Amino acid sequence: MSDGASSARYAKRPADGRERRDRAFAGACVSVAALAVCLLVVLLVSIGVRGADRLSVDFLTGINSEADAEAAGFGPAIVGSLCLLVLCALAAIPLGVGTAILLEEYRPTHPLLRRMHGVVQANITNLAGVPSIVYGILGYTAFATMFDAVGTPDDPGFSFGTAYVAEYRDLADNPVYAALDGPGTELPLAAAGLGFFADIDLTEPVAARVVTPEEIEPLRAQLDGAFAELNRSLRSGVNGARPSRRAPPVISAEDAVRLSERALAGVAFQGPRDAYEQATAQTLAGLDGVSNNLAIARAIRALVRDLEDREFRAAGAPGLIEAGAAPQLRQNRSWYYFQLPLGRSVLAGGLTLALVVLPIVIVSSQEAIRAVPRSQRDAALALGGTRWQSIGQVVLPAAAPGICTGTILAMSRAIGEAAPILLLAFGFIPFTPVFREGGSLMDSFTAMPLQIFQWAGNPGDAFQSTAAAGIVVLLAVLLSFNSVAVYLRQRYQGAAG
Amino acid sequence: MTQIEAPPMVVTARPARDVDAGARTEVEAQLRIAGLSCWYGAAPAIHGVSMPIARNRVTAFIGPSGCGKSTLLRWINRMNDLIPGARAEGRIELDGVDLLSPSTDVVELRRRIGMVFQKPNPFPKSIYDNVAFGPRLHYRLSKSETEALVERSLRSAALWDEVKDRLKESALRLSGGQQQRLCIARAIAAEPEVLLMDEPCSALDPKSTVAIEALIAELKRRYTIVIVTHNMQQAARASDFTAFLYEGRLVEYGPTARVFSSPESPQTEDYIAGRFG
Repeated sequence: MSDGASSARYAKRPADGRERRDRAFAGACVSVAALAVCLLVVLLVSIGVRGADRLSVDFLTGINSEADAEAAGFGPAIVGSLCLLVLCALAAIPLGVGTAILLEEYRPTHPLLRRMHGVVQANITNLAGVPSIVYGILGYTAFATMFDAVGTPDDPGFSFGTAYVAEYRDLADNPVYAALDGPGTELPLAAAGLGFFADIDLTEPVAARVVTPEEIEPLRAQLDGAFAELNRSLRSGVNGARPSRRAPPVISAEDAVRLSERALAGVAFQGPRDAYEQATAQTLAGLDGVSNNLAIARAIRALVRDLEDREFRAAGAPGLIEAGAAPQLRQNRSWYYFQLPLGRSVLAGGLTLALVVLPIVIVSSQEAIRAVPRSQRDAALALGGTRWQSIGQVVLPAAAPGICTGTILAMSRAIGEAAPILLLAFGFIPFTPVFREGGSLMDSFTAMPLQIFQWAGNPGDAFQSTAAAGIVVLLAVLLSFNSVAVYLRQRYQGAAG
Repeated sequence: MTQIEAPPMVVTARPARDVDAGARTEVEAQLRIAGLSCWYGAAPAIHGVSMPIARNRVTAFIGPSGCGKSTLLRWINRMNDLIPGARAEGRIELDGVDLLSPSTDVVELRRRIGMVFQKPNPFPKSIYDNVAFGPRLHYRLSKSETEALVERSLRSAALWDEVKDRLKESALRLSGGQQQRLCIARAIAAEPEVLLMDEPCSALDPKSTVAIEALIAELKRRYTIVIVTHNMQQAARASDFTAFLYEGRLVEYGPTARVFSSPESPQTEDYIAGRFG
């Protein structure tokens, strides 16, 4: 056979330990890999151990503390990262997938356009390698300050969603707001008499508040006593009423209760003083055996007002405003408040992160789209589909798993990035951005990696444990993202094969 | 190489294997290719091809690889528009209207001229959705109308009995021959007038090939069929007219029986005899 011929023609390699070297190489590979895994495990375990005692529900939901490492919570950072992620996804996915479709499916034929197409493609590939701090500066310039072209963040050149409110001080010196139509609206004086105002309700106009049963109860007891006293004084001729020996009690106990309720309803009645008096008089007129109604009404009003003043002032009187008080004009931001430039806001942060991940989204979407066979597009077009029908009904569904996988990995990169938002976020935020009352996308924010960075920079060991706990949370989020991506890839690869 | 005269618009067809009574009558050309030349960039692919394509008949393009037969086919439904740098001169008339003119509605043209590709290319969707794809692009159909159309198309493609119980299954689970018949069903579901087939059996086993050829014989009652093949036996079996292309030129065109039994050109004779190609 030819075997014999060839072995005769060539000298056989001596058995010089090729197999041994092969085994040695395999062993080297295994040990290097094992070393890497060991390092990773050691790192994870040491961080886990250090952060373990700080991990708690309070840590996840609580707000940050600058002074007390034990009390410092991760809540604002988690919410901030969540907001960034959603905004980043909303900006990066449509833009990235759209760009990928343009680059893959709408290749121009004109030579000049083809050259531009090539330049764009090359730039996107290059952008994927730009250090993320550069994106941070870009984001700060382009979104936060907008090149100082439209005012400054504190004095925006354009804004909407500002609600103008009249701010009153109630008897306990707390602010009470009433919505106004705009900055030019005449400020409403607190109507004559005392009135309840909605606590902090920007949507309701100035209006009286209905007194709750809890508030009535103690007052009613006092009023009952007061009416008994009033009866006595009426019988003994105080307030201009003639004393009458044979007179039955002018106001029965039941009537006194009814009257006190009506009178309390009158407290909530916020209108001209005359109307208030009339209402009280009408109430009294309904009672039998009462003469000189107006005098009694005056007495009751004086009594009620006295009680109001004394009791509510003593109790801090939430929402109760001094008669004739003048409010101050305030600007309150609605939840849809928007301004240009964006300032150091969560929206600016999300857009900056979108810049960071955009090249990744574009390139991975392009690869997914490119992997759809030409024949699939041809089939759709040959059936009389337009180009968009072919893309929307054939190419994108087939590329969707790949696009999803790439996008999720890009998002996990975004959530772990600290550098791009270094100039935009704050290390310490005492509230959860956006979701607090009066919050908007223009809120300042912090994010998980940045909060960890701030804690780790604090002197002393106490904050190091807090930082470790933060790292554990961040890693858990990243790992769950990546496992979703892996799951998607596995599942759809299986389905396609 | 002899440049042959373009055959007249009305040709007399005498295909040997056709038993239809109408076959011996004069047939009308539904498509007419006139002086078609085309280039890919600067490279010429087809030189001045002129020929008619008869209504409700099977016309086969044969020739060695690279002779331009697929290119010619892909001009008929303007699929070459998608290839950058491809351009054509001359005319291809569908019922007298030049479909190469820039004003042609390509989307409507491709609905009227369906195409089946060399490799079966079903969408990774269900069998049902594959067949319903074309109709859904063009028409607003109710569920029952779609169902009826899908059944009719699958029956026409001789696939209904094999798949009627698993319409919701992925089309990728079908065998190669079934996939190709599904692609034919998908093409005819859009209710075309002409069916272009680009080597529809080249990726199939002999048994599936027989099934497709039988299907072609059946389909020509309703559709004008143009088939590209490098299999001369297939052209001889399945077609009524044959066009032999060589190096981008139309060497010979005529009724299949005549072309195969007494070719006019020595090149055709050599090719049919298997001396090259």
